Amino acid sequence: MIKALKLQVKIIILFALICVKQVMATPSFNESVPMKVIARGLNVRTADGNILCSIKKNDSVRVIGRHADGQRLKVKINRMGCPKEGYVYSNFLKPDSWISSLKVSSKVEVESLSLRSAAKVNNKTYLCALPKNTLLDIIDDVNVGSNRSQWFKVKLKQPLKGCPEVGYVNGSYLAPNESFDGVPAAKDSEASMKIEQNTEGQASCHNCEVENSNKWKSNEIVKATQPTQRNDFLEGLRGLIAEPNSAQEGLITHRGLVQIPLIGSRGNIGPCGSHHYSPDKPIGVDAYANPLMACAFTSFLQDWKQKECPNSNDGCRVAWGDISHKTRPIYSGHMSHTDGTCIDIRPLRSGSFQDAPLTYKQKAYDRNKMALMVKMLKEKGGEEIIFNDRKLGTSYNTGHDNHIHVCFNKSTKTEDACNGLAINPNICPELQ
Amino acid sequence: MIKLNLVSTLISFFMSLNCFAEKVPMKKCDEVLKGFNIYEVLDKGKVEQRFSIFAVQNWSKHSAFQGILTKETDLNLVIQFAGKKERPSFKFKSWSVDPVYLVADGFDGIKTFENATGSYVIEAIRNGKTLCKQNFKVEPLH
Repeated sequence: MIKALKLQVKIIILFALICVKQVMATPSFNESVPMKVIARGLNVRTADGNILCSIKKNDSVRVIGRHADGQRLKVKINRMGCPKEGYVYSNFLKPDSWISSLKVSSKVEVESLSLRSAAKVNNKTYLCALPKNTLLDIIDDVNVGSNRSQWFKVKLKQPLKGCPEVGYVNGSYLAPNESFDGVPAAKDSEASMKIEQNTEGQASCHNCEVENSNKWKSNEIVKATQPTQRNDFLEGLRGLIAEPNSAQEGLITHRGLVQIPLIGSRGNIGPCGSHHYSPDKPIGVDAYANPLMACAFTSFLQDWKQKECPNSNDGCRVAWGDISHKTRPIYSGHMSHTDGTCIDIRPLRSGSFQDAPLTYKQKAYDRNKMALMVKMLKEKGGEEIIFNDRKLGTSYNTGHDNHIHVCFNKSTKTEDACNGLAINPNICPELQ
Repeated sequence: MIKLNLVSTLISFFMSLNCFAEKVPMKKCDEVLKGFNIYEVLDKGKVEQRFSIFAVQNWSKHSAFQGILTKETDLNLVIQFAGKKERPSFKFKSWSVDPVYLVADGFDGIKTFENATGSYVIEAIRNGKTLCKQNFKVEPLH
């Protein structure tokens, strides 16, 4: 009898212990959870993305809810100049050590993210490409000063062939990996999500004059316009347009012109799936553009890929040549390529893409697609278009059977194209 | 007798000029020689190398070729620029990128055409005989 009683007591104690252990291991979000900031400067925002203030590295915040977007957390803040509550991206928070069960990591949110040897975008720092959903631990915040770039030293959670274990990534393309299912959804965030769906693109339309325009109807574009998805290249261009000759992080500039980013060992891979043909050496020396032209042209490239030519293996892929030279304003007699406003583009071909010459007289020439390209170039502010296929309404000039020459001068159209641009990392992964 | 000697002498003379040999029609250079470019693309986040093969055309930045290929054996490539005496010659060797082709060994289109102006002649020669010969323009930058 006593033995049976002892056994029952033991069983009860065992169950009680298991129960207590489970309760201890699962952080309850009925009460706020303390977290530590791991970014050097982390923006606190309203539910719809407006910046309220910035909190510092190692600041403590308390999680009180989650945003309906699944990526942000509503936190209580205790810092001068900040409201008591606001939203922050969860992957820039680290739980205090006592919540051992809650591991925070980040994952690559875009199709491909460059792992780099330093927090800089150039050919020398490129290490490898991290595919979408690669899990990373943030080791350190290496923000280089301004709020335009958020770089992080990261460690791969799983080894990846061809990639070192540790490197640097642009934080704009990371998303938190953890699930915050246990955190109650904040009601104001759900309301803001509904508003975001109605006012597409509003959240991060920098210097925007085209808010609520139909240009922003694509879901992918809307995704790219999330407030934290700042793009170094685009922000640098806007900085240069506003303040010519100013130093802009992440941009290679010379004589007021900016080098269009090119990747790969041959300098062929341009932004948004474009191809740079006959590249001069050193790489990029022939790809210096006026900042407004670079911005409008990038807008064209992104729209072209998204709307007309999503497959880079197709002949409709944009292949461009000279813009202007880094140090020689007039180089090799290329008179019209002096101030970085004009660019040469090869005619489009039917069938698959080729890095090969083509004239409008050849069978492979795709006039219909070319007409669409001319139309879109004009929409983006392209002027002085020279191409010898007169059926397109372009100007004729000697030597323009095999390329179209187009200039993006300062105009309302080029400015609109630039102001309305938000880089979609899924379409333009080369511009990370 | 003298007449006979004269006829035989004339025949010998023309024989030496190879006038009675079977005439081999010269091929179009596009059938013998091709230009190529090797380039890179970003495919699913990875940089990949690809190549294009195409007909040699007038030279310009828009129609440049990095090298020249052929499928014919025992060929020599000769390139001559207008106003230049030099006729650089290149032998062909197996092309590591695609062994179906032979590549003009040591020929670098970009370097060769660096300061070229006017026109150029491309010629494929086998055993001292011209297989094809074609004249192209070197277009200035526009």
